[in-house]
Amino acid sequence: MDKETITPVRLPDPLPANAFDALPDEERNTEFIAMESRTYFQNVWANFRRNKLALTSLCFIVLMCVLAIAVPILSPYTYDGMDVQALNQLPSWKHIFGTDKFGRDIFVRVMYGARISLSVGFAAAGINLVIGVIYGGIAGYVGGKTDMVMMRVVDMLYSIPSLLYIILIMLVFGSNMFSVLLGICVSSWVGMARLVRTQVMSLREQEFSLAAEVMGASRTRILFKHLIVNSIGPIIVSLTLMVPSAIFQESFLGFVGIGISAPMSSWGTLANEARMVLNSYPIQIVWPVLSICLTMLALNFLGDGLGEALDPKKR
Amino acid sequence: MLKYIIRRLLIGLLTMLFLITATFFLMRVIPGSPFINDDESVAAQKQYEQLNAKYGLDKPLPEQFGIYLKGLFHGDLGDSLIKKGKSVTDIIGNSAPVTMRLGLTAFVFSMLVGIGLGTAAALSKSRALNDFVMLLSTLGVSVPNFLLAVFLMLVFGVNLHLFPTVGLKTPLHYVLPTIAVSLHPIAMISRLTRTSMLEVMRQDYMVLAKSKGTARWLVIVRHGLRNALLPIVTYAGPLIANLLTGSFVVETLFSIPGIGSEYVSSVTNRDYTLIMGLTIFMGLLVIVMNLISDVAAAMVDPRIKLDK
Repeated sequence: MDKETITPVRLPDPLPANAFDALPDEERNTEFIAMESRTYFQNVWANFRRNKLALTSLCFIVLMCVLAIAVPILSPYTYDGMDVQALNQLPSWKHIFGTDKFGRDIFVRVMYGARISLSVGFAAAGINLVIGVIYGGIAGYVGGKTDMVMMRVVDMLYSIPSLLYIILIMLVFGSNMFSVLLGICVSSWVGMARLVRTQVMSLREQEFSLAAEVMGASRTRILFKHLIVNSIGPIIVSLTLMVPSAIFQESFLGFVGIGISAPMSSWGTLANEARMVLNSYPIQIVWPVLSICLTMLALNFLGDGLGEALDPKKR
Repeated sequence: MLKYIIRRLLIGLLTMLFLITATFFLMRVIPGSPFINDDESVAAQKQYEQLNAKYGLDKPLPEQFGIYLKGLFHGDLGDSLIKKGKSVTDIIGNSAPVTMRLGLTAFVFSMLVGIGLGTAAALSKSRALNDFVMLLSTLGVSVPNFLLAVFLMLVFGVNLHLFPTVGLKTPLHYVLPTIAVSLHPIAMISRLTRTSMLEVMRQDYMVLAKSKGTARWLVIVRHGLRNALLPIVTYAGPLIANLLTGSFVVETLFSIPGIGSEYVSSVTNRDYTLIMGLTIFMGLLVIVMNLISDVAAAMVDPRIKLDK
């Protein structure tokens, strides 16, 4: 290699007269942070807002919920009010989704269906959240023998074909909301428990957990205030994906004919009723099917969007 | 490895015991009985009691359970209560092959299409292909298979008369049910393959293989695909178990005499022995398939450690 040629550092000359003066106070910015400081959830929201698809999905789901709640106020019809003058009508201004074979307004029925389907979905996700987080959290944090026994129980439940159970439970407890929820939740909290356990197990070994222990925090406090709060991201994502799977199972039950019983109806039941008259009035099956598919789609997009937004490594 | 397999088998045995016990007592709690008892006449009552006595349904529940378990350990699943003169083993023997043929067809179909699409999307720079795979995988997770089945029946069966919609006799009969069952797995597989293929393509050994002058397709198949398929192996186990135990609705909709529709009808008929037999059969299949897929995953990927 050649000898390095040294170029002397050339100062701009002449130096400004005030080059060695202290900066005036308003120009000092050593503490300045280029990005505004945001809390975790402000950050998540900012990320989430950029994802148009997820945002639209969120709006859709909120709209669906609002319509489902407000439908008795908005519509002059009831879900079981029959009108023999208007059987199997096509969509019109009077009945925007048309009417079914008893002359019941399909829009109102679909919205009442949304009440059942959405509440089953959210309730199942909620129950799974509580059971799964507590169970998985304890198993992961305590570890050792406790973890072994608890996880064997999970393995057992995991390998049971869940549909068998749902069908049996539906028959034992009758066709109501309680038994649908029970059937869906018997096996589906297991996934959440596994997820939380892995999260807690890796977080347990980190310094902040040790620091909390050193400061004398109780084990319960460390588990719930530190470990679980720190794994909130994956938990929320799997939660959003649990809702559509519960809705799917519920509509499946309704479709087979053992779901929530008439005259109340979920989307699955509505699809099943419309299937009976499929050849003569194919338009009737469109509404419940569209509701199921769009809701599942929206929830999936929402889950994906949240997954990206909740990732603390992204900013 | 052997230790792991033995432990898993023991857990599986425990699971089966739990499954058998829970199902046995749960189905007895279901209101109703396999024999109709709406006739108030003395003769009918007498016959009802005789039927109950014949199948041992008049004994106390724990005793019945003991008798059932004893039979089970001798490999005897009992006779169907409703279908006279048929043993449960016969019914399973008749319906399982039907479901399995459909299940295997769907499995192979979804594997081929899923892996093909996923790989193609990962390798090609074509925007349209990538969009198509994304669309397909989104549709796959959001359209329930029973709705897809109805749609397929309506369009291709009833309106266009392209494919038959009832039963499973000729190869043509397989088309619609297979598609209906496979959409969801295809979506999952193509998504998984695409992600893991993209990951693998970035690895150093791919560059090395390429720099050695190996042909592009050889690099992709031998070095890329072989490594990218690992997550698929883990997914395949539960999938094949799912497909082999049948899709209840798709079987019912297409009037396919498989295990799924047999199960639904046995539950509505309160055919206790048949419910038990089918539950045991399906549970066993699921457990074994899960075990096989876990062991297979460890065998193809030395990085996975089973004993832990």
